[in-house]
Amino acid sequence: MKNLLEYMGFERERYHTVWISGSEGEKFAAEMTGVVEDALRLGPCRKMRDETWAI
Amino acid sequence: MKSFAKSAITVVLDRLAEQTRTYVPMRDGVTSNFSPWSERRASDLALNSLNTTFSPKGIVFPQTERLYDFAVDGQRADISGTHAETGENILFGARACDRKAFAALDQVFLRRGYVDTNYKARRDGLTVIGRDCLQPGPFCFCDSMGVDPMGADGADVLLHETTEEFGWEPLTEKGQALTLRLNDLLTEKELIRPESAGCRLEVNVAGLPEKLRGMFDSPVWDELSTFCMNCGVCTYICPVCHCFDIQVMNNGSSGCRFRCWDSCMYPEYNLMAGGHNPREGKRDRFRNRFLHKLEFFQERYGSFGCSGCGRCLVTCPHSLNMVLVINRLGEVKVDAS
Amino acid sequence: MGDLTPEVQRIAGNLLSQGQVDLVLGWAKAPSNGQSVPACIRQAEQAGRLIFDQYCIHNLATGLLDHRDSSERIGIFVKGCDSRGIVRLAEDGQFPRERLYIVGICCPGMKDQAACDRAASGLFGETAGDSELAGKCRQCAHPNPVIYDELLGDQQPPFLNDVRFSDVQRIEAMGIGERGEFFSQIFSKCIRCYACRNICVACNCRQCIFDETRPQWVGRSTSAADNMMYHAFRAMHVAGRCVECGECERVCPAGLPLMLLNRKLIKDIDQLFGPYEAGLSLEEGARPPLSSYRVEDPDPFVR
Repeated sequence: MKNLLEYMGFERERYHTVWISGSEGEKFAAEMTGVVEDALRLGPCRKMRDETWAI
Repeated sequence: MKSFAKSAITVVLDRLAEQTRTYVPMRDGVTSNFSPWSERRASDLALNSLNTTFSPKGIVFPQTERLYDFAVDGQRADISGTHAETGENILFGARACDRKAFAALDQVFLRRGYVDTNYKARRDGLTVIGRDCLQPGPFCFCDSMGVDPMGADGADVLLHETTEEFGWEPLTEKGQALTLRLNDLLTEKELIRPESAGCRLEVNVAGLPEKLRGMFDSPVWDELSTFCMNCGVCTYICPVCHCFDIQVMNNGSSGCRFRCWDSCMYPEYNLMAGGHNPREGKRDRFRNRFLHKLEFFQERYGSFGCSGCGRCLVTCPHSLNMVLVINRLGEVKVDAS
Repeated sequence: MGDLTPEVQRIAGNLLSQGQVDLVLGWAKAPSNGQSVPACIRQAEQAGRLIFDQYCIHNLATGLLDHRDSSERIGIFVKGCDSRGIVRLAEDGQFPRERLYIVGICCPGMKDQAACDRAASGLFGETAGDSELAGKCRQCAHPNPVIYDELLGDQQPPFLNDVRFSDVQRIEAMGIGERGEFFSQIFSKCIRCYACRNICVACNCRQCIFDETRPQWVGRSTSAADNMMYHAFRAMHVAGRCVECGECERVCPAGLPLMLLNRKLIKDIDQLFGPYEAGLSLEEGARPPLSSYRVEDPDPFVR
């Protein structure tokens, strides 16, 4: 999936797969922070977005 | 008659497109479509091709059309922005079959009580420049469906084609208005209008709607639909098919409502709110499509829901098509009792 | 290749008259315009309708799905690509091998009737593609049936005059922005007729997510975003199971190069899980790479 998305032109960092057990709250928090940081760094994804459909 | 040389076609199109978006048949990779003249290269101009892969119905009835936006804030809901396009467009080089299809769409969207605002706005803003069809293709059968390939129906201007020239015959006020714009490009010339070669493919539809009334339960529908895969190709490339759905794009507290083409071939097309699907199998959906075009449409509007453009003949993945179906239906013997 | 039509008719006639099968799927000529079309016959007397010529491009294996709930025995004519479709269905548990009598035909390469017809309709002027092999056949690695009860015709060499993944590599070599632009262009032309899905032998789910309304997984608008979602979903769903028959590209009215997505996934699966070609042989218990798990499977994507 990651490879396919990158192939279609989406940055790798936009897609995450992480193994987190139900007891690993701290890891979950850290990963989510990472996801947000990655997304903020990359900025809004305008790819495959048709401007006439902007809401 | 007023006319312009074929070699001057780009000059004429440039002039038209200066003020008004002008859709012309254009090649697009392995397909062709009516596209705005200004957006494409002149080398893609496909005036010599027969019917475009996709019909021009999208100009007056877009595949996806935003209807209005909404925003929700607590107990308040705002509706804004109706997106109906009121601008003017020109359709250049529409053949008789596609113009006949517009007439069928007009029946549905304008003539039977309810007037579809968006459709009307687009239709009123459209000037249709028709053209003679001298050499119908190997898959054309418009004359069997009551269409004259050289007729002027549905055109604001009709182009008469000769070897070197396009004759320019304005037929309506809209057509006159365009003539004024092109006046210095048109010259007065005596043109001899060639005869059309006519369609090689023929179907016999005489008495078909009446016959079909007794054929709802005929086993022929099972036979014909055996290899139909229920994809929507035929419905989407058909210039007459006009079914649509209204859906919502929801973005949390705001969104928009839009209309999009739908196809009677899809299982969810017939799905009812309670979960019942009256046309569950592909036989039922296939039968509905052809009965609609050949029987119901005729009963309600007095014409067939097919203009004989032949697009389905070259597009169906399993080579099922209108001609094959009409011929087979014609062969079937119906028990009069 | 000699004319196989008499053989096809004889075999079909025998199968039906001896009661070995209840129906036969093959090809016939449409009386209306002479196109080769899929045909289904149930009586031996109808066997004379069947033909085999260079326009029998349709993959009949997908048609078996209509019979998956019956108990009828079916005789079916298959080319190389179609036979891999049969393996696909059997492996996916959609159609039991036992109910089939498979007549394999070594395929000399087919012509695309629709493409020829489009050419004849004048769009491409004089360059009518009548003499040309269909696009999907030019990429064919397995023209000879891989599973059959009876085989017709002479073994054919693979066509593959192009490297299998050269198009994929061309895209991979692009920058990420350029790739996004490239696929955006492609997807914006999709009209969402679902012909690619419906013709696909790997798309054999009874209920497809694109038909679901509650919830609606993918929007119905033909915007670039919804179209992209559709194609990415579908590519992932057939990943590892695509038999490279190329039917999706053949039937696409917009002429989209859909195999670019499928081949990318095949290429990656080859690299990650070892060389694999879907639907080449039917083995008890065999599963496509993405349907099975081994502890040593690579997982660089997961943290």
